[in-house]
Amino acid sequence: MKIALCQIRALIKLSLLELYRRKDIVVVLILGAVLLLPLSFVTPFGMSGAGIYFNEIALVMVWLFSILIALGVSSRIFPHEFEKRTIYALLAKPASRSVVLIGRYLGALTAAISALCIFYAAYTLLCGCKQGVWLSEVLLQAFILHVGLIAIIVALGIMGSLIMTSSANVTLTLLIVFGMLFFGGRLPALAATQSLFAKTILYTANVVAPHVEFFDMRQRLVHEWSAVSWLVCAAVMAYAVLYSAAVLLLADFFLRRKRF
Amino acid sequence: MNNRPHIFVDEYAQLPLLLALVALLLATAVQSTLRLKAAARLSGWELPQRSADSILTMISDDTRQVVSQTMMAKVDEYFHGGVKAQDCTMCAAEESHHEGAEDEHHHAPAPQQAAGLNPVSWINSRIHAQEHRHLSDQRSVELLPWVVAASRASPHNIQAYEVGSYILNSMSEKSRIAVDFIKEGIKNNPKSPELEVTLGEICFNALEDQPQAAAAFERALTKSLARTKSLTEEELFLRLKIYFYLGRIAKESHEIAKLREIAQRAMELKAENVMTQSLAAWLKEEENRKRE
Repeated sequence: MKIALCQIRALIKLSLLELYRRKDIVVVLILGAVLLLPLSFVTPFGMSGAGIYFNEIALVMVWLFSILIALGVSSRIFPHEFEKRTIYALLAKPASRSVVLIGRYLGALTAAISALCIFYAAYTLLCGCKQGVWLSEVLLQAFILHVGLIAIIVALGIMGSLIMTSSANVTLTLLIVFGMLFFGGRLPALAATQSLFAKTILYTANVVAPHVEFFDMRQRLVHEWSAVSWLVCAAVMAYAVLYSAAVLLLADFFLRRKRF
Repeated sequence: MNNRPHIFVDEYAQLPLLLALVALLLATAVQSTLRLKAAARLSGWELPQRSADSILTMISDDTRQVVSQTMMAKVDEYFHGGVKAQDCTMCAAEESHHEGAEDEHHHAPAPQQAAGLNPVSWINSRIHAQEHRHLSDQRSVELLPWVVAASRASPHNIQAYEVGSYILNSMSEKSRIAVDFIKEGIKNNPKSPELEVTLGEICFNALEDQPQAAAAFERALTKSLARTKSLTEEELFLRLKIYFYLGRIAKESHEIAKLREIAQRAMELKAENVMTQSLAAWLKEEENRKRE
């Protein structure tokens, strides 16, 4: 057990080093700054005080960049290992396939969360400087739920990388994530009005697909609605943990069957 | 022996075939666009399609119009605290007092009613706000970036200029800026009577500048009468509004002949409308005053 923990810790460290060596975060931060800084000086009709639009665009960028980073980190772990044949060295340590999977998952998750922390820090700094509001309960809840979302995306990215090519994996996962983000909340209502066949498909999608929209607190944060109950937050995080665990179990099944 | 796989179409025939396919697709696109425009003309739809000399200009204009309309939807969303119309659980019930509500107010949510027993809907109704709320006048500046963006995305989006001038004039009390903005809209949409009416209303009600208001309503009437096709309900209402304001200006300057003519025209358009009845009442009042 102690050996397995040491191995997992080493794998987490490796993933973190890889993310910061590739300088992906620096690129997205510069891109974000280039897009947001001119927007922060907008004063329509010479009237200052508008901040909601800035908050919203900044949060959209945080969401987009965090999803891309999480998916990028998770989807290239195993293909890279297989390509460079470093998976043999890892399995020969000896580390079981499950330990490698969990270590790699936690590594990718830690790397993605560390990037998310940087994004939220930058967002808080920008919005704090512009509007004078620094920290709030809703912001904390938004961050926590965002971590739940990242946990699911990383799990999906890793599972996909074991059964598909990298490009197919990234495309399909992005389709699922954005599809569910925009339409996930409407699936039950949409299913209710369809024929039996379509209804079955939609209800299956409603159960199987990740409900990414649960983690989206942007509206509450941007339009200054009150915080949600912490019980609801806990329920959503429990969903994230269960969903990620289910996806990782599937990924473990695929990794065990994989022939190198 | 030739090992090449047999292909149905000779390689040399592929280019003309491809060109023919592209031409067919283009022809279908042009035909369906024209058919859509004809249908729109007959039924009076308000489509984003704009008439243009070439199909590329038309596509570009339509895209700008759609982007602009999406930005205007954002204005509505911001006004309602980020709640989209289709997500609002209270909107149907609130329709009745939507017009008069200007202050920030909200009502207790009815998530159980909206969500039923579905856990997905239940969580969504808790995470995403669905109550009915309006932005206060003091914070109306929050709407302006999207209004400006919408008017820049498509200078032909009349709604952007109307809504923008309403926000500036009624919510932010910046009537002079509203007049400048609506004049920019008129410059970009010289055939629109709607913008002239908005300009006239601001001049008449907020700036109390009757000569400028009268000039704007006269221009609006000319532009409205230039529309030869049968009037839609909105256009009819707009023309009655023009008569109403012109009649009011005529009444205040005691021009009975002009007031009589305007009232007569309004009667011919829609006698039972409240604005027409107001015109008739003013005419009677003025005639009595003259007799006395």
